[in-house]
This record gives sequence, structure tokens and C-alpha cells, in this order.
Amino acid sequence: MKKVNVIINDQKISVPANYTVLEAAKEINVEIPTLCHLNLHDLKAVNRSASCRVCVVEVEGRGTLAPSCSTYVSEDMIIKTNTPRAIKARRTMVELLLSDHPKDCLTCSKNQQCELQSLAAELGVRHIKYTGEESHYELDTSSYSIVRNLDKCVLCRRCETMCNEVQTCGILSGIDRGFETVVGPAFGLPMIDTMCTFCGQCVAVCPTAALTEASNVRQVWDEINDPDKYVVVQTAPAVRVALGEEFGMEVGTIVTGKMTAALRRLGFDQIFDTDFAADLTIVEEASEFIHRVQHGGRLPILTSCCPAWVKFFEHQFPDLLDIPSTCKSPHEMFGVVTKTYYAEKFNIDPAKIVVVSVMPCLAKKYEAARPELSTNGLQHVDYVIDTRETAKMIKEAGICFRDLPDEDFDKPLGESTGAGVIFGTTGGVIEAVLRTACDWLTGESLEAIDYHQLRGLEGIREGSVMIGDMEIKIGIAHGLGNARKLLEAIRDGKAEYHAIEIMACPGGCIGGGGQPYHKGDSEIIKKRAEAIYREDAGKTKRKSHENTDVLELYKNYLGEFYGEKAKELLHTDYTKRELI
Amino acid sequence: MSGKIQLRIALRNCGVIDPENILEYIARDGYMALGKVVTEMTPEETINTLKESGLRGRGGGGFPTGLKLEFASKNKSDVKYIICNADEGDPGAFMDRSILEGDPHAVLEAMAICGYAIGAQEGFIYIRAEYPLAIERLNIAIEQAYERGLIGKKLFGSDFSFDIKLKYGAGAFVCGEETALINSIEGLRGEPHFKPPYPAEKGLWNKPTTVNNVETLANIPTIINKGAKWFSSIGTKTSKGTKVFALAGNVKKVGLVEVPMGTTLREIVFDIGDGIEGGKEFKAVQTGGPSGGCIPAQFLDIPIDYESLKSIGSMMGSGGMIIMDEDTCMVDIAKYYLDFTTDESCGKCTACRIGNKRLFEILEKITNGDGEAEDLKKLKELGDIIKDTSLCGLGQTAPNPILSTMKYFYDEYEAHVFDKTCPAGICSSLTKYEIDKEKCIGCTLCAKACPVSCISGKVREPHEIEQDKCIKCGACYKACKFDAITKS
Amino acid sequence: MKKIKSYDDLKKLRDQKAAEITATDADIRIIVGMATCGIAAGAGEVFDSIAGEIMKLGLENVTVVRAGCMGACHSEPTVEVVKPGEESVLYGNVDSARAKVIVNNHLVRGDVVKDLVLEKNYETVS
Repeated sequence: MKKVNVIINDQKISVPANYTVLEAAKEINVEIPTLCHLNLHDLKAVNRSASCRVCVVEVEGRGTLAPSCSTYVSEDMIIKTNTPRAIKARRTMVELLLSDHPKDCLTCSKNQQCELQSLAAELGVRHIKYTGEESHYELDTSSYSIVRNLDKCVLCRRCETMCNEVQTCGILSGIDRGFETVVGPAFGLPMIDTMCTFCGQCVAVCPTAALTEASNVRQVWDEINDPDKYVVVQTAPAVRVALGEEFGMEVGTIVTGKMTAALRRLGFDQIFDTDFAADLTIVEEASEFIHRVQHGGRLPILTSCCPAWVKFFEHQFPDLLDIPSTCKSPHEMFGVVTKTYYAEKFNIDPAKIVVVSVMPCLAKKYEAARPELSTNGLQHVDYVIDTRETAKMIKEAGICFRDLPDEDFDKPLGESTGAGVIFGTTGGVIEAVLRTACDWLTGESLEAIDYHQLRGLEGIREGSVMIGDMEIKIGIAHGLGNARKLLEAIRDGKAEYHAIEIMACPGGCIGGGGQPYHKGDSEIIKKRAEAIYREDAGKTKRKSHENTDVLELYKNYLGEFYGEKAKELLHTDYTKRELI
Repeated sequence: MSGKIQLRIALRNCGVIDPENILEYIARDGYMALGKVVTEMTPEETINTLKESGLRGRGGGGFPTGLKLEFASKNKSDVKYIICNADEGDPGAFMDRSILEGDPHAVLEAMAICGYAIGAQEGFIYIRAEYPLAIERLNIAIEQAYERGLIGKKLFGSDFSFDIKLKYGAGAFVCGEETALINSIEGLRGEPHFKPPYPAEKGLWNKPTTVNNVETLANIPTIINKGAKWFSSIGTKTSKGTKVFALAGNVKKVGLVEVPMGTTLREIVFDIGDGIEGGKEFKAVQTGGPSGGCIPAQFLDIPIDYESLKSIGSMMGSGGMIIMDEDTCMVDIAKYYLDFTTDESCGKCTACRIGNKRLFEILEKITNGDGEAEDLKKLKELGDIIKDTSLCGLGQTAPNPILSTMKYFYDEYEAHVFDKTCPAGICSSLTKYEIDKEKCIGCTLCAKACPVSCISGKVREPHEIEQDKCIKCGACYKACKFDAITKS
Repeated sequence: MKKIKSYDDLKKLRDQKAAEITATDADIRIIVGMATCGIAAGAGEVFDSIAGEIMKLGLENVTVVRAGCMGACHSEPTVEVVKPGEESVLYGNVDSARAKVIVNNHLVRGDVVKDLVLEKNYETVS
């Protein structure tokens, strides 16, 4: 890449020709404030609308101020980032945004995490000079997963970019014009009536509280404090490599032990591990996969543990509904096992059991309410709280997370193998399936179970694994835009895979809509992925079918792998939905 | 010259030929320029001719047309586009409409010439849907041009082919901005995009594109036929050729005029326009529509060209020229334009979406009689910042009407804010209607006309207006036949 | 209809059509300004009125043309009478009745209808 010479704030530097002024300034340790800008480099998600006008700088020769996030450097460009003119304009832009924004920071769910709040503090805004009309809209609380508060929207258009360009769902876009402009679904439909998959990527990138999760914290507290109820909690793998961030710990720290200890102190009756159920899912899914391979069943098989991906599929590819695995997702399997096997084993009335899932995901809130995911009138999972909500509960309870000792999960639904852990990252589910399927198909206990060819963060990956003389072709996609490409290839008959793994969120669950805000730093997502593989490598058992608790469950209750009882409790079917 | 003030180049065929008959266009040298260019000139020669002519964009920007085409021609691509911007959105402007309704072939020919110059094979005319007659005549013209082989495949037996299609706008002034226009053609929301990259590099469908105004294009065939030297002999040093103006407002002879650059405002308003209606005094002229500024009487003798208008805080704009007489309130005019721009703002960038709205709110406050000294400072400060920070031309120029009226008519603003009066008697909240008891004969006509029944008085006795209830509609003022009601 | 396949084709057609208009025995042209401004002011009725009167009088050497805006929007509807060899005359504020007067006076008798005449303060490039 060619380099160009520029002068920023009287300092001469040489930067690649494809740098923006924003990136060039970073090289001399100047961080120009931004708001609408977002660049998740490796995950190919870029919002460069240049619409907030906060990042403006002076460029010699240009009549007006230039937006540094989208102005590319050129040879001999002279840039000044901190002149009175630029700073005054920047501050005025934030003042203007604040003039049309609710001033309820103290009681706002994004208090201390809001990017507008931070900007106002950084720029030293003390007085909003230009006051006037403030926009007011009705709250959209129609869905289980996402709450839209348009009063707090700053029109950064990040959500629009994620929804249209990265996830290719097209739910959110600009509507109306001028002061009345809003970002939302077409025709002002409530979210629940759209094709929204509730992946929550819009929530993950929203700088303010315009888009937040629908919170279940109050309900979970009520259940915990109800002496009549037996509240059981399970935690997803992606949570344990990210929860620490909410307490100022280094990104990528594995906090499994502290997480368990904290949940116990919150008052949950049993602390279980979704990874256990992940192993269970693998045993069923590997069985299903092998069954299809050996009996000429429909291939490729698609993993189905991601509920956003399932809803996407139901709307957009209803003609291919026989392709996904019929396995329920791990936390749902956990729910049904808890309210049947566990309830029976410990003689607890299932109606008094409350299953709470701690997830990195917002779509799981929607999934938990699906009518078909129930047995005997009881939903498998009662509440889903995401990583951020869990951290809030821990803080509310005054628990000093960083100082907690490491504790273990409870039995008998707490044991997990490395295969269960890697569910949290893209490529992990299919790798876990292979660890079991390869052993079963070859009849051996294979040692080489790190399938590096399936790991990484490229949006669409391919790999193949030899099982005996059979070459199993694998396709992996994360981000629904990439998923769409893979699925269209299947529909057009161009895809030659045996198995495909799809995760709706870029990076997989570690980049889920309910995880601590990454604020545009894709390094955070990378480090979380590394932590997942570290946790896996540190486990003694790394194959799902070696999980003794899981094997106990089959021996004492479910019977055969992929047998009648297993199919009844652990498998589901999908609904054809309309293209709206 | 002939001694006549107006010189019709862009309007040469308007009102002369039947626009629905291509033969009449051909009879007046129609398509001769295209033929010459395609068979006798190279693309470079075509561009050079336009560069030498000094033709500048007539849509308001004033960018040298030849240079714009040169940029696009230099960018390598097998697909390029010519777009004609027929979205004419300025209130009161109808120059482009007249050209499209009166001489559509001129635009078609010019687009093909530009296509040849830059290497484009396809052109789009983006026309606002509110111009049905222009659309109809364009469609007829395109059909007839195709029939005769003057647009389409292998023109004049050469290898050059050029197709033209129409695209309709949908009621958005902002789509007159070239990048918003391009987004609209692509089926996206009509919001502008930051520049650079310019359309010459990455335009329609990311291909090199030039977007030209209707009037600019209408000049091109004549420049080719009569030569760059001829064209550049008309006008001033920096602004060559003529400009079409849509004269409107308080002038006696409203209409379409085309004058050489360098003609003074006085000549246009008083010689062509025949002066102010009703014997009133000239106050100001607004050029450039909502992006422009007002020009007061002291500049009536300024020769009109791009630079001179800019130097006095206005701009050429697309040609709308609104004449205002002494009964115009300049604060109200600024408010009118801000009302327009805030309504038409696309809402993308903070500066325009919220900033211009706040400017409008301050003007409303002032014209409602609630203005404070701070407000005058705020208008200037915020206006300057919005000009400097907005994403596109709409936002950047929206404060111009305020800033220019404040520059030349600051006393009116002060009157509104400090004296709570509107000197021109327009801002109803600041107008007081009073009955002169000496002149009132008690005919009761005013009381009958009052919509809120706030005038009291017995027959044949002087009446009185209850100021608290008065809504300042002026109905009584109009009804009184005895000049007994004063308006202040 | 013949397609134009070369520059020469066009030149020939141009010469032919131009000659038709400037010929001394060319038709009298009555041009009615029919852009949106004219039509809104009633130019449509004026056109019909002129065309009707010409047919009624059986005048054979007259062509009536719907053209674009002549620029005199202050006096629409406008009508221009172009007689070969003579200076053209521009009329303004024409209505259906006055249109008939123009046909009878100016076309038939050669008397310009003075009170409707507008000054043509422009030069048109050709």
C-alpha cells in the first residue's frame, strides 16, 4: 500500500494512502471524538455515514470543516484537529444533539455506558444554548428482546448499517425527513410484527439507550425472593469470557469460577452450566448427522442452536425447512431436562421450578417464549437475562465480583467438556459435532481434535475433515449476511457441504447482542474467542460424549441416543413464516 | 448586439418551435451539434471547446462545465453515465421547466454530446414528478429522437450509441443535490453522501458520472455550433454567456428573462421588469432561492455574475429572482425560507436536522414578539457553524437568507426584538390595529368583519378594538372604507 | 419515415425544413405560448379559438403552433404572429374573443391589433 505524507497539528507523518484522517490522527496519539462512526475491522462492519458531524476537523484548502472519519488522506494534506473553529463546531453538534434528547441520564438504562454522555463530558458541555422542540415518540416494547426508545435516537445510523448491510435483514431504515426523521421498521410496524430475528446487533452498536434489551431483571429478582420457587440458573459459554469486562477486568479473562460464585450469592438455588446441555446437544446432533449420512437423509445438515438464525431461516428460506437439525438449542434442552429428569430425580414440582438462562443473546428471550418450546404447559426456560443484566444484578447486590473466590457448578447438570465451551465462538459448534461424530464413525478415540482449519473470524469459511476415506465438507458462516450467501448457494444447488454451522452474530455468541458493549473495538471480540479456546484446551474432557453427567442422563432417563424419548423431549420443528 | 437587453440562447427555441415536432427543432439546426461532434470532433476536442467557452454550471454551483466533464472522462471505466438534473426545487424558479416544456430536444442533444465527450452510453433525466407537462413533452421528444435515429444505436453511422431514460423524483427538494439524486435513482433513500468521492469518480452505481443542470445543457448545442469564442465573447471576465432568470414577486412584468452575464439588477428589475408594482419602493431582491441571500437597493448597479453576487453575500443560484417591495418584512422572508429548508432537510446530519430547526425556532420567537437580544447573537453564531459543518449544500446554505438579511437589514431585526414592532407591518403578532376615534363614523363594517368579535361600539358611535382578544388578522383594516383603522 | 444515418442526411433534412420556413411563400405562423404558465392562463382555449376561426374563414396558408414559454408570463396567454418577410408581432393578454379579432384584423386585413401588442425586448440566437 502506497504511503502519503500529511501534516497533522504541525506534525509530519507518513501513513498508508487508504487511511482516513481519523486513522492518521491516531498514529500521533490524537483521538478525534466520534459518535456515528463504527469500524469493526475484521468483522467487516463499517458505519461511515459522516452524519453526526462530531469528528469534524480543519483541512487546508477546504472551505468547510471535514468529517475526519470519512475524509481520506492525500499527499501534502494539512490537517488541524483542535483549532477553536473545529472544537466549537464539535461542541455545538453535541449541544444540538442534547437539545433534542431526554435529560434523564440518572435513571437511564445506559447511564455511564452511553456514548453521548461520554462525549458531552469529554467536550466539557456545560450549557445547552440552543433549546427548542424535543421529539417524542411512543416506546416500542412489542418484542421480548428489544426495546426501542426513539426519543433517545441520535440518528447515527449504526443500527441501520448492521441490520441492512451486515445482517441483510432490512428491518431498520430511515423514515420521514427533517427533524422528524427516525430509524425504524417500515410503516412504523412494531418489531414483533417484522422479520426481525432479534439478533440484537442493533442493540450492540447503539450508542445511546435508543435500542436496549427488554429487561427481565426485576422478574428474576422476584422469583429468587419467592420462597415457594426453586430457581435454577444456567450460563452460556460466551458469558464466562466476557462477564469480567463489566467489572473492569482485562478483556479475555476467563471468570467461570467467579461467575458461579456470584450467581450463588445472588440467591439462585442451583447453579448449572449450559455447556452441559451443549454436550447433550452435540450427542443428539452428531447422532442425527450420522443418521442422515448413513440413511441418505437430507444434507447438508445445519446447526440450529442460534435462535436468531432460526427465525431468519423461517422467514427467508421456508423452502429449506428440512435442512436444519431438529435439535433444540442447548439452553432449551437444559430447560426441558430440568423440568422432567431433574424434577423427578429430586422430587420437585416442575411447576415450582424457574429456569433462568444467562445468555450473551437477545434472541434467546424471544426463543424462550416460543409456544412449541414447552412441555405439559410449562415453558422450558422461564427467563433469559443477558450478560449485561447479570452484571447489573451482581452490582445491585453489592457483590465485589473481582474479589470472589472461584467456585464450581452444582451437580448433576453442571459438568461440561471442552466441546461444550467452544459453542461460544464461530466454528465451535461444528467442531464439537465433529469431535463426537468422528469418534463414532471411525469407532476410535481420536487424539487430534483441534480442527484449526475451522477456526478464525472470516465471515464465510470452508474446511474438510477426513473420517476414514470419507471427506466431510464443512461450511461455516457468522453474521446473517454471510449466512444468506451460504443458503443461497444451497438453494441454487451450488453448495457441496455435509454440514454447515451458522451463527447470526458476527464472531458467534461472543459477539452477541447481550454482551458487554464493544464500542466498536473488534479486538475485544477476538480476545473473547481466544479465551474460549483457552478454556477448552484447559479441560480434561474435550469431547461431548465423554461427559459423565450426560451419559448418566441417557442411562437413567432418556435411553438411546437420538431415541424415542430423546426425540420427544430434545427435538423440535420449525414454522414457515411470511416474507414481510 | 442588437441593443435589446435580453439575449436568448438557452431559450432560443422556447416559444418559437413546436416542442412536439422534431422537424421544427431540426430546421433550427437541431442535432447539428451532435452530428458535428460525433463525426468531426474527438471527445477531447469536445471537452476543450466547452472549457474554452467558459460555460459554468447554471444550477447554482457555477462549476466550469468543461472541467467537470474532463474529470469524468479521465476516470477509466467501460460504463459511465450522464445525468440531467431536472429536479428544479427552488420556490419560484421555473427556468428549467420552461426549457423542458419548450425545447426538450436541446437537452437530449446536449446529453448525447456530453456522453460522447466522457465516454458514456447512457443518460438519465431525473425530473421532478410535479412537472407533468415537461415529462409528457420529454417522452414525446425521446420517442421522436429514437424514431429518427438521433438517439440510440450508432448515431450518424458512427460507433457511438447513447440511450436516454427518464427517472421521476418524488417531492424532495434535497434530491436536487447530486449525490442525493444519484441515491434516489439507485432506489435508495434520497440522502446526500459525503464528497469526496465526487460523482465524476464514483457516481451512479459507483461509475464515473456527471450531473448537469437543464439550462447548462441547453447552452451546449449552440456553443458547439457557433463556437467557444462566440460564447465567451458574451458576459463578463469570469462568467461567460447568458443566464435565465425567473423574475417573480412585486415586479410589474413577471416572467422568464435571459440576459448576458454582466447585466445589472437595475436593468432587469426596472427595464425588463418595468419596476415595482403599485408604485412602491424597491426593497430587496432574493437570488438563489433558499440557498441565496437578499440584495438591497445599494447593489442595484452590480453587474450580475457568479463572483460579484458571492462577494455581496448572495449567490447566482439556479435563477430564481424574487423582487421585494417596501411592504416586505425581511425577518419574515428569512423565516419563510427556513421553514422551507427545515421541511425539506433529509435529516441525516446533526447540523442541518437540528441546527436549522433551531434557527427557525428562533425566527419564530422573534416574529411572535418574544425575541431577546441573545437571539440575534445566536442566529449569527449558529448560522455560521451550520454553514461550516453541514454535510451537503442544502444544510450549508440554509442559513444564508438569515445571515444576509441580518447583514443588510439588521435594523428590522432590532425593531422586532427590542421595539416589538414589525416595520413592514407583516408579522401579525407585532402588528397593532387601532381605530382612530376622530375618523370612525360607526358604520359597524369592521365589527361585522371581525372573526373573533373583538370590536365593540354602538351604531354611529366610534368603535374600539379590544387588543387582548385581537388576533391581528387585518380583516377590519381591509373592511374600513374611511381609513379609520391604523396599522402599526 | 427515413432514419438519419449520417451527418449529411441531417444537413439535408435541416436545409429542407429551414427553407420551408423562410420561403417567401411559407405559411403564416401563429405561435401560441403553451407552457404550463400559458395553459394555466387559458392558452388552450385561445389556441382552439384561433384554429376554429381560421377554419371558419377558410384561410389556407396559416399554421398554428403550440410552442413553449415566450417569457412574458405577466401577460399570458401570449400569441406571436409571424408573417414571412415581415417583423413578427407579439400579442399578450389574449383571450378567445381577442384571438378572433387578431385573426380577422391582422391576418386577413393586415391591421396589427395595437392595444394587445407587447414589446419584444429580446434577441433570439439562431
